[in-house]
Amino acid sequence: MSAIHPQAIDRPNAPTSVSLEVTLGPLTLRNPVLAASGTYGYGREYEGFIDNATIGGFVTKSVTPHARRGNRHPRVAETPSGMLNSIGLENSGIDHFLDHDWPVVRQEPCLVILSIAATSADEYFEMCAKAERAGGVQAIEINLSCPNVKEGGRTFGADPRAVEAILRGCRRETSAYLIAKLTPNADPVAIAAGAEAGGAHAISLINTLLGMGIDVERRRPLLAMGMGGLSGPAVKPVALAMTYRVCRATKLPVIGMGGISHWKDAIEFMLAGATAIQVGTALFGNPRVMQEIIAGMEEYCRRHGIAAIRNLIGTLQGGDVVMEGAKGGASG
Amino acid sequence: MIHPQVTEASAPRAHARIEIGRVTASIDAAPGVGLLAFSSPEIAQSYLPGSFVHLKTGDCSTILRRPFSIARVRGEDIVLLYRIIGGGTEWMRALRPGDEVNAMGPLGCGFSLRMHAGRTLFVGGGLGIAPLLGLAEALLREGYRAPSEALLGVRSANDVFGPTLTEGVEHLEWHLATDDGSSGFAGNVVGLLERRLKELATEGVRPRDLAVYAAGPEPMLESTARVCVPRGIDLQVSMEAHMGCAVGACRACGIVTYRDESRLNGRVCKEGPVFDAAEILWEGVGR
Repeated sequence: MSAIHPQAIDRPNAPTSVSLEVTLGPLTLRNPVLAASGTYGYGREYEGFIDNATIGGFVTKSVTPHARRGNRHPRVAETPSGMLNSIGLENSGIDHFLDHDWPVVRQEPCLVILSIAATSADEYFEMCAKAERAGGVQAIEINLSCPNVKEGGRTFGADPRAVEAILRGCRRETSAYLIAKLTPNADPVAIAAGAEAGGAHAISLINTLLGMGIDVERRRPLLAMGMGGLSGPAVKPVALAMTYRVCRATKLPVIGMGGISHWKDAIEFMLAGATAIQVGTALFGNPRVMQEIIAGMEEYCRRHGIAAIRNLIGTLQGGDVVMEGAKGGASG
Repeated sequence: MIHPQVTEASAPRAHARIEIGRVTASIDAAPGVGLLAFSSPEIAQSYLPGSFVHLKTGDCSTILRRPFSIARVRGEDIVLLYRIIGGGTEWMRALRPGDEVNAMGPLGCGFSLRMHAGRTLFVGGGLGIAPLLGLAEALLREGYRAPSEALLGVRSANDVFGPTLTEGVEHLEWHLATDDGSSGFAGNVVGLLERRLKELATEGVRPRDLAVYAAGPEPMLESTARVCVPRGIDLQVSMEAHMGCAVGACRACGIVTYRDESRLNGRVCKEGPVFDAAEILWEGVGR
């Protein structure tokens, strides 16, 4: 870990040490690099490949109110520079998780963020209450990309009022730092506003984009479930634009993700306004990618005379980007 | 309530790492079948029969690795047999000696060696035979001397992989099944297995004296289990699945349903790829 520079300011001469530390409210991360939910298990699976004492933290695979066996297979497929997945939130349920896994997971030497997913607002509240009772839960990422069973299966994350209500209820049940994870399959600015109104402490985005692939020889979808979530470098420009827009629209810290697989990608998200970033799909091809990103960020700061990476957040140059173009999908 | 499986202490698990190796051989072993050998001293040293490697294939736009069973280890070389089905496998076929191979492995839980079995049968569906070759060699090396036979199912006599197959496992008694009847038993390898089991029964071989190891496509493994498990025959199967991480994090391959309903699905990459067939609820696998 880099030494903390007491008066970290931008300066033209290369600093001898670079601070990669960033803060999310009361939480201090040794660096802005987190492993994304669903790609890092419960933090021990990459043992031998990744030392958790070197990363900013990780988000657990989402836990649900009850155990789930997951979807039919194939559950993953590769597309150009992307991955489609439809795992189906396979997990053993929050009670089993808190009893058996959490006592170990919470001791990992980095920020551990618990991810929860549910099919009704009440279930989200109940899971927050259980996490609070279990103790040691510093932060919860609320996975909003789930169908709301009571509202005809509409995704929670597509309805700003539903998101606001979930956040408000979760805040009542837990003192943990609450991160609302947004789906890109809706207007993220409107959803972020709902999350902020409900009391979210931070926003993370993007979850996967709805996608599909077809095996033309067999005339079947690549995934057994037909459609799934697209991730990987293919989604990065979309994720970056959404992150930028949300950063401009909210006062909350933003955790950006979507296709980050290189330190340059990570710096782009931070210039766009993200306080921290998450790495997901890239881990599968390159389990060392987080270490490479951390090293690349440090080198970048040194090269640009930046003593503390937090000074880089939201410093994109070049004036205002035309927002209508982004909204309307205008092109050249 | 369903819970993650606690891996049995008996399941052998290797210590995995990422290693950049060099191709030592890349040839066509048979029409449509490639053989790739690459030096990877650390992975070779940690190899356990049944373990696999997760390979980077293709250029940087290919973002997922691909899992391959390790067919055998020759000194510091890892040997793979693979079907050329386009994409990453065409890229593999184009590799030439000296080219780099980025491999992660050895991964997963391998076969438990049944040293006391009175007779061993290796049942391979097509290229599924690959991990059984290294297993047969390991049993021999460990001093296993009871009669051992290999049952191989292929589409036609043209699909037999030639000397690359039998090298190092010459001690095996080979039985062939061809779908088109062009050589050996006419039918699939499970039909051949049933016939062999009848023959062995008339020779006085008891089911409980047998150890059967099977690898191949999932329907073939399921059929093999339906033959062996009710008869009380010890059967280990090596499963295949699409994978993401290959270290147990993403659950893309969590498709193996256990008879014990309290256990969460088995991950092919972590609890597997080798499973005790008697523990699997085949109706549930992958559904």
